[in-house]
Amino acid sequence: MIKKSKKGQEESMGFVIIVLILVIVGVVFLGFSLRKTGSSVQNQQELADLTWSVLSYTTNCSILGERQSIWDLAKKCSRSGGTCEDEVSTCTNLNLTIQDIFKTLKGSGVDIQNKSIHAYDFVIDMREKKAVARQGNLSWNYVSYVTFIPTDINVSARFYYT
Amino acid sequence: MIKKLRYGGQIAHDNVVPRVGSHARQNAISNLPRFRKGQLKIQEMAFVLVGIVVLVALVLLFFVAFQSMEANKNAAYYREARAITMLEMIASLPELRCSSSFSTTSESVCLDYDKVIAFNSSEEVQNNYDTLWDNSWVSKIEIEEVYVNSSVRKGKTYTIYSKESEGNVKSYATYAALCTDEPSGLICKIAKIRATINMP
Repeated sequence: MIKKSKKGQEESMGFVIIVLILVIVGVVFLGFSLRKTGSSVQNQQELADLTWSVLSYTTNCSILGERQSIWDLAKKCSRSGGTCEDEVSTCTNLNLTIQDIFKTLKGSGVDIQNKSIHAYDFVIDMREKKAVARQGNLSWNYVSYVTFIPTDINVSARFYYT
Repeated sequence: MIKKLRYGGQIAHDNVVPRVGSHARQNAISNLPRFRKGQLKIQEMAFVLVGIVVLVALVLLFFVAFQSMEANKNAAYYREARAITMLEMIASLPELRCSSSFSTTSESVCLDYDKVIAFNSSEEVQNNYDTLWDNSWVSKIEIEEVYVNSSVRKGKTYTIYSKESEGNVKSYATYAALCTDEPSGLICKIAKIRATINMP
């Protein structure tokens, strides 16, 4: 009787060991498969390039006969405000231009690494003022880029794709 | 009919060792000599070992499949990184980039519109860089205006290099400012540089 129960105990121990081994292997396998590979190189670079090309874009606003870029407008808007030669304020011009740019880019099927963008959130933060271009349902996956430049102006871009 | 079964090298008849599962069979086995019991145990162990080997083989198979998947992913990642570097390299070529007199934001990729036009309009200029692009497996480079102004949404496409591609190709793109120096100041549009690369 004692012999029988001892044998049973040994077998159940063996079973437990096999189950444990399987669990450990499973956990290691899961750990490997769930390990994130990090965001794509292209996503980051493409987004940075897009952000900086938008900031370099020349707007219709002229001041003293010189056309202003988005970056120039952001600097002027953050400091004194002021108006363009068409009597529209620099801040309004800035807002309207970035909104039109992103609306157009989305309309023409802008893609980030061949992923179709369904929503965007582009913010030029000038401490007290903000210029915002935002459209679409801000959910699902996104790629984002934030400028790190030693000025009072921070720019963040976030693009949502399905 | 008398069926013959072998137990430890000896022949046992069906009528001696009854059918599997019956108490009589258990009794018959327990009544077998010790060395036969040992043989049964060895058989049992062999089955367990075969089971473990099959299990380990399955795990190894999974692992190898997973590793090869990872290797493919890594290869794609590095190929992509290389393509991006290539795009940045294209944009920073002195033959294409804006001159230092252009006062754009320092971080932006800036392409000189006049230089782009020069490339686009002359196949001879394009072919001068044939070796460079060939060595980099580039088969096509285009610059496309994606935003000109509020009235002209999509602009033209300019070709920097074009060659018939062989086999598999993949396109990579990034954005750049396409600028021209005019009397009213620097005028920049938003453009896309697209490079088509021959895949191995």
